[in-house]
Amino acid sequence: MRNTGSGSGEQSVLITVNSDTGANYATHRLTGNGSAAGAQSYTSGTAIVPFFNPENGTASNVYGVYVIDLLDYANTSKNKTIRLLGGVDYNGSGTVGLISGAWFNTNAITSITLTSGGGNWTTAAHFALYGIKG
Amino acid sequence: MPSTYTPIATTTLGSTASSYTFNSISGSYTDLVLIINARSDRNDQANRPTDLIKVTFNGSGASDYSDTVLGTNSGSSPFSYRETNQGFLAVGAIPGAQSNSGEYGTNIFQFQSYSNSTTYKTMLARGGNATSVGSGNYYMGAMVGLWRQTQAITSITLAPYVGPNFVSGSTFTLYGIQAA
Repeated sequence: MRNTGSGSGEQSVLITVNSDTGANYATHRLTGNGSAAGAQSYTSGTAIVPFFNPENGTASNVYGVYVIDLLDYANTSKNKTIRLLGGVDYNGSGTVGLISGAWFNTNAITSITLTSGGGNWTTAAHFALYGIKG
Repeated sequence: MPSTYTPIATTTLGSTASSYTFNSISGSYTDLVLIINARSDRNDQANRPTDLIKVTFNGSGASDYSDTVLGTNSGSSPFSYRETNQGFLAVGAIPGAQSNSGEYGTNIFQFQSYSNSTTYKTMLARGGNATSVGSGNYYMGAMVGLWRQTQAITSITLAPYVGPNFVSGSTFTLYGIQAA
Protein backbone atom coordinates (compact mmCIF):
# COMPACT_ATOMS: atom_id res chain seq x y z
CA MET A 1 0.00 0.00 0.00
CA ARG A 2 1.00 3.65 -0.48
CA ASN A 3 -0.87 6.90 0.05
CA THR A 4 -1.18 10.17 -1.86
CA GLY A 5 0.18 12.30 0.98
CA SER A 6 2.95 14.62 -0.19
CA GLY A 7 5.33 13.95 2.68
CA SER A 8 8.30 11.59 2.74
CA GLY A 9 7.39 9.59 5.79
CA GLU A 10 4.88 6.91 6.70
CA GLN A 11 1.27 7.28 7.63
CA SER A 12 -0.91 5.03 9.69
CA VAL A 13 -3.46 2.64 8.34
CA LEU A 14 -6.77 2.89 10.18
CA ILE A 15 -8.40 -0.52 10.49
CA THR A 16 -12.00 -0.59 11.62
CA VAL A 17 -14.57 -3.35 11.49
CA ASN A 18 -18.33 -3.39 11.10
CA SER A 19 -18.25 0.41 10.57
CA ASP A 20 -17.47 0.89 14.26
CA THR A 21 -15.56 4.17 14.72
CA GLY A 22 -16.07 4.32 18.47
CA ALA A 23 -13.26 4.15 21.02
CA ASN A 24 -13.34 0.38 21.00
CA TYR A 25 -9.87 -0.55 19.73
CA ALA A 26 -6.37 -1.07 21.04
CA THR A 27 -3.03 -1.45 19.24
CA HIS A 28 0.36 -2.68 20.41
CA ARG A 29 3.41 -2.52 18.15
CA LEU A 30 6.92 -3.98 18.30
CA THR A 31 8.95 -2.33 15.57
CA GLY A 32 12.45 -2.12 14.18
CA ASN A 33 13.64 0.94 12.29
CA GLY A 34 17.00 -0.42 11.19
CA SER A 35 18.88 0.91 14.20
CA ALA A 36 16.75 0.13 17.23
CA ALA A 37 13.73 -1.84 18.35
CA GLY A 38 10.82 0.06 19.81
CA ALA A 39 7.35 -0.49 21.19
CA GLN A 40 4.19 1.57 21.16
CA SER A 41 0.70 1.07 22.53
CA TYR A 42 -2.58 2.83 21.93
CA THR A 43 -5.69 2.14 23.97
CA SER A 44 -9.28 3.30 23.66
CA GLY A 45 -8.62 4.15 20.05
CA THR A 46 -11.12 4.62 17.23
CA ALA A 47 -9.20 2.19 15.00
CA ILE A 48 -6.36 -0.31 15.02
CA VAL A 49 -3.36 1.68 13.81
CA PRO A 50 -0.40 -0.04 12.26
CA PHE A 51 1.70 2.11 9.93
CA PHE A 52 4.23 1.20 7.17
CA ASN A 53 2.09 3.23 4.75
CA PRO A 54 4.55 5.28 2.65
CA GLU A 55 3.63 8.77 1.58
CA ASN A 56 4.01 9.73 -2.03
CA GLY A 57 7.19 11.69 -1.38
CA THR A 58 9.11 8.55 -0.48
CA ALA A 59 11.12 6.56 -3.02
CA SER A 60 8.90 5.82 -5.98
CA ASN A 61 7.56 2.31 -6.61
CA VAL A 62 8.00 1.32 -2.98
CA TYR A 63 4.88 0.01 -1.27
CA GLY A 64 4.34 -1.10 2.31
CA VAL A 65 3.10 -4.64 2.85
CA TYR A 66 1.07 -6.35 5.54
CA VAL A 67 -0.17 -9.77 6.37
CA ILE A 68 -3.18 -9.40 8.64
CA ASP A 69 -4.71 -12.39 10.41
CA LEU A 70 -8.21 -12.21 11.86
CA LEU A 71 -8.58 -15.43 13.77
CA ASP A 72 -11.96 -16.69 14.92
CA TYR A 73 -13.55 -13.64 13.23
CA ALA A 74 -17.09 -15.04 13.26
CA ASN A 75 -17.16 -16.09 16.89
CA THR A 76 -19.84 -14.25 18.90
CA SER A 77 -18.44 -15.08 22.33
CA LYS A 78 -15.11 -13.28 22.14
CA ASN A 79 -13.70 -9.86 21.57
CA LYS A 80 -11.67 -9.93 18.37
CA THR A 81 -7.88 -10.00 18.18
CA ILE A 82 -6.02 -9.15 15.00
CA ARG A 83 -2.39 -10.05 14.30
CA LEU A 84 -0.26 -8.16 11.80
CA LEU A 85 3.21 -8.52 10.32
CA GLY A 86 4.16 -5.58 8.16
CA GLY A 87 6.90 -3.36 6.92
CA VAL A 88 8.39 -1.15 4.28
CA ASP A 89 12.01 -0.81 3.18
CA TYR A 90 13.40 2.06 1.12
CA ASN A 91 17.03 0.90 0.84
CA GLY A 92 18.42 3.03 3.61
CA SER A 93 15.37 3.56 5.78
CA GLY A 94 12.16 1.80 6.63
CA THR A 95 10.44 -0.14 9.37
CA VAL A 96 9.31 -3.67 10.12
CA GLY A 97 6.94 -4.65 12.88
CA LEU A 98 4.80 -7.16 14.67
CA ILE A 99 1.47 -5.72 15.75
CA SER A 100 -1.53 -6.90 17.69
CA GLY A 101 -4.87 -5.20 17.64
CA ALA A 102 -8.07 -5.70 19.56
CA TRP A 103 -11.68 -4.81 18.90
CA PHE A 104 -13.63 -4.89 22.11
CA ASN A 105 -16.84 -6.29 20.74
CA THR A 106 -18.14 -9.86 20.52
CA ASN A 107 -20.05 -9.36 17.26
CA ALA A 108 -18.91 -11.40 14.31
CA ILE A 109 -16.81 -9.36 11.90
CA THR A 110 -18.86 -8.73 8.76
CA SER A 111 -16.92 -5.86 7.23
CA ILE A 112 -13.37 -4.54 7.34
CA THR A 113 -12.44 -0.97 6.40
CA LEU A 114 -8.86 0.11 5.66
CA THR A 115 -8.39 3.87 5.55
CA SER A 116 -5.13 5.62 4.77
CA GLY A 117 -3.87 7.94 7.45
CA GLY A 118 -2.70 10.43 4.83
CA GLY A 119 -4.62 11.30 1.71
CA ASN A 120 -5.99 8.45 -0.31
CA TRP A 121 -4.59 5.12 -1.42
CA THR A 122 -2.51 5.44 -4.56
CA THR A 123 -3.04 3.58 -7.80
CA ALA A 124 -1.61 0.04 -7.56
CA ALA A 125 -2.39 -0.22 -3.84
CA HIS A 126 -3.64 -3.77 -3.55
CA PHE A 127 -5.85 -5.50 -0.98
CA ALA A 128 -6.79 -9.19 -0.97
CA LEU A 129 -8.99 -11.04 1.52
CA TYR A 130 -8.76 -14.78 1.91
CA GLY A 131 -10.78 -17.18 4.01
CA ILE A 132 -9.37 -20.28 5.63
CA LYS A 133 -11.84 -22.97 6.46
CA GLY A 134 -11.20 -25.55 9.12
CA MET B 1 -14.76 -24.80 -1.99
CA PRO B 2 -11.26 -24.29 -3.41
CA SER B 3 -8.29 -24.26 -1.10
CA THR B 4 -6.84 -20.90 -0.16
CA TYR B 5 -3.27 -22.13 -0.59
CA THR B 6 -2.45 -23.95 -3.84
CA PRO B 7 0.75 -26.02 -3.67
CA ILE B 8 3.10 -25.02 -6.49
CA ALA B 9 6.20 -27.05 -5.68
CA THR B 10 7.91 -28.74 -2.78
CA THR B 11 11.19 -30.47 -2.18
CA THR B 12 13.00 -32.23 0.63
CA LEU B 13 16.72 -32.42 0.06
CA GLY B 14 18.16 -35.91 -0.02
CA SER B 15 21.72 -34.56 0.21
CA THR B 16 23.47 -31.25 0.82
CA ALA B 17 22.80 -28.47 -1.66
CA SER B 18 24.37 -25.04 -1.97
CA SER B 19 21.07 -23.56 -3.13
CA TYR B 20 17.55 -24.35 -4.24
CA THR B 21 15.55 -22.52 -6.91
CA PHE B 22 11.85 -22.40 -7.66
CA ASN B 23 11.77 -21.77 -11.40
CA SER B 24 9.06 -20.83 -13.85
CA ILE B 25 6.66 -19.48 -11.23
CA SER B 26 3.29 -18.83 -12.81
CA GLY B 27 2.00 -15.27 -12.68
CA SER B 28 -1.56 -16.47 -12.22
CA TYR B 29 -1.58 -16.17 -8.42
CA THR B 30 -2.03 -13.01 -6.38
CA ASP B 31 0.48 -13.74 -3.61
CA LEU B 32 3.08 -16.40 -2.83
CA VAL B 33 3.89 -18.08 0.49
CA LEU B 34 7.14 -20.01 0.97
CA ILE B 35 7.47 -22.36 3.93
CA ILE B 36 11.01 -23.38 4.87
CA ASN B 37 12.16 -25.92 7.41
CA ALA B 38 15.89 -26.08 6.95
CA ARG B 39 19.36 -26.37 8.41
CA SER B 40 22.75 -25.35 7.06
CA ASP B 41 26.26 -26.71 7.58
CA ARG B 42 27.61 -23.39 8.83
CA ASN B 43 30.55 -24.05 11.14
CA ASP B 44 32.79 -21.04 10.67
CA GLN B 45 32.95 -19.61 14.18
CA ALA B 46 32.63 -20.93 17.70
CA ASN B 47 29.26 -20.31 19.34
CA ARG B 48 27.58 -19.44 16.05
CA PRO B 49 24.83 -22.05 15.67
CA THR B 50 22.53 -19.85 13.55
CA ASP B 51 22.61 -19.10 9.85
CA LEU B 52 20.40 -16.87 7.70
CA ILE B 53 18.87 -17.51 4.28
CA LYS B 54 19.87 -15.58 1.15
CA VAL B 55 17.03 -14.83 -1.24
CA THR B 56 17.37 -13.64 -4.83
CA PHE B 57 14.83 -13.24 -7.60
CA ASN B 58 14.92 -14.06 -11.30
CA GLY B 59 18.58 -15.09 -11.10
CA SER B 60 19.66 -11.54 -10.32
CA GLY B 61 22.60 -10.86 -8.03
CA ALA B 62 22.70 -7.13 -8.80
CA SER B 63 22.89 -4.78 -5.83
CA ASP B 64 19.16 -4.10 -5.89
CA TYR B 65 18.28 -5.70 -2.55
CA SER B 66 17.83 -4.20 0.92
CA ASP B 67 16.18 -5.25 4.16
CA THR B 68 15.19 -4.09 7.62
CA VAL B 69 15.30 -6.61 10.46
CA LEU B 70 13.72 -6.84 13.91
CA GLY B 71 15.12 -9.65 16.02
CA THR B 72 15.89 -11.03 19.41
CA ASN B 73 18.88 -13.13 20.28
CA SER B 74 18.83 -15.65 23.12
CA GLY B 75 16.21 -13.74 25.04
CA SER B 76 18.18 -10.52 25.13
CA SER B 77 16.69 -7.13 24.31
CA PRO B 78 15.28 -6.91 20.79
CA PHE B 79 17.41 -5.22 18.18
CA SER B 80 17.06 -3.86 14.66
CA TYR B 81 19.46 -3.44 11.80
CA ARG B 82 19.32 -2.88 8.07
CA GLU B 83 21.28 -3.76 4.96
CA THR B 84 21.37 -1.72 1.76
CA ASN B 85 22.47 -2.19 -1.84
CA GLN B 86 23.08 -5.89 -1.41
CA GLY B 87 23.23 -8.64 -4.00
CA PHE B 88 20.62 -10.65 -2.04
CA LEU B 89 18.21 -10.45 0.88
CA ALA B 90 19.45 -12.08 4.11
CA VAL B 91 16.37 -13.11 6.05
CA GLY B 92 15.02 -15.89 8.20
CA ALA B 93 16.97 -18.03 10.67
CA ILE B 94 18.09 -21.66 10.53
CA PRO B 95 20.38 -23.81 12.66
CA GLY B 96 23.93 -24.52 11.57
CA ALA B 97 26.31 -27.39 12.24
CA GLN B 98 26.84 -26.43 15.89
CA SER B 99 23.16 -26.92 16.70
CA ASN B 100 21.89 -30.18 18.09
CA SER B 101 21.34 -32.95 15.61
CA GLY B 102 17.82 -32.90 14.21
CA GLU B 103 17.22 -29.18 14.82
CA TYR B 104 15.78 -27.35 11.81
CA GLY B 105 14.53 -23.75 11.66
CA THR B 106 11.04 -22.83 10.48
CA ASN B 107 10.53 -19.75 8.35
CA ILE B 108 7.61 -18.25 6.44
CA PHE B 109 8.34 -15.90 3.54
CA GLN B 110 5.50 -13.96 1.89
CA PHE B 111 5.55 -12.20 -1.45
CA GLN B 112 2.54 -9.97 -2.08
CA SER B 113 1.66 -8.85 -5.60
CA TYR B 114 4.72 -10.70 -6.89
CA SER B 115 3.57 -10.79 -10.50
CA ASN B 116 2.76 -7.12 -11.10
CA SER B 117 5.08 -5.12 -13.32
CA THR B 118 4.41 -1.73 -11.71
CA THR B 119 5.90 -1.77 -8.21
CA TYR B 120 9.19 -2.76 -6.64
CA LYS B 121 8.85 -6.10 -4.89
CA THR B 122 8.58 -6.18 -1.11
CA MET B 123 8.61 -9.41 0.88
CA LEU B 124 7.95 -10.23 4.53
CA ALA B 125 9.80 -12.93 6.44
CA ARG B 126 9.54 -14.38 9.91
CA GLY B 127 11.39 -17.26 11.37
CA GLY B 128 13.45 -18.62 14.17
CA ASN B 129 16.12 -20.99 15.31
CA ALA B 130 15.38 -22.31 18.78
CA THR B 131 18.52 -24.35 19.26
CA SER B 132 19.62 -24.86 22.82
CA VAL B 133 23.28 -24.75 21.83
CA GLY B 134 25.63 -21.79 21.87
CA SER B 135 24.37 -19.35 24.42
CA GLY B 136 23.90 -15.95 22.86
CA ASN B 137 23.06 -17.14 19.40
CA TYR B 138 19.64 -18.63 19.07
CA TYR B 139 17.49 -16.20 17.23
CA MET B 140 14.04 -15.23 15.98
CA GLY B 141 12.99 -12.28 13.89
CA ALA B 142 10.77 -10.46 11.46
CA MET B 143 12.13 -8.89 8.32
CA VAL B 144 10.98 -6.78 5.41
CA GLY B 145 12.96 -6.98 2.18
CA LEU B 146 12.91 -4.85 -0.97
CA TRP B 147 13.99 -5.79 -4.49
CA ARG B 148 14.24 -2.62 -6.53
CA GLN B 149 12.89 -4.07 -9.72
CA THR B 150 9.38 -3.79 -11.17
CA GLN B 151 9.55 -7.02 -13.14
CA ALA B 152 7.36 -9.91 -12.07
CA ILE B 153 9.03 -12.51 -9.89
CA THR B 154 9.37 -15.71 -11.92
CA SER B 155 12.01 -17.52 -9.89
CA ILE B 156 13.17 -17.54 -6.26
CA THR B 157 16.61 -18.83 -5.27
CA LEU B 158 17.47 -19.72 -1.69
CA ALA B 159 20.94 -20.31 -0.27
CA PRO B 160 22.50 -20.30 3.19
CA TYR B 161 23.98 -16.93 4.12
CA VAL B 162 27.15 -18.56 5.45
CA GLY B 163 26.63 -22.29 4.79
CA PRO B 164 27.95 -23.22 2.34
CA ASN B 165 25.13 -25.74 2.08
CA PHE B 166 21.62 -26.61 3.15
CA VAL B 167 21.73 -30.09 4.66
CA SER B 168 19.76 -33.20 3.80
CA GLY B 169 16.22 -33.09 5.14
CA SER B 170 15.76 -29.38 4.51
CA THR B 171 12.30 -28.76 3.07
CA PHE B 172 11.09 -25.93 0.86
CA THR B 173 7.43 -25.57 -0.16
CA LEU B 174 5.94 -22.84 -2.33
CA TYR B 175 2.21 -22.02 -2.33
CA GLY B 176 0.21 -19.67 -4.47
CA ILE B 177 -2.80 -17.78 -3.22
CA GLN B 178 -5.29 -16.56 -5.75
CA ALA B 179 -7.69 -13.76 -5.04
CA ALA B 180 -11.36 -14.21 -5.82
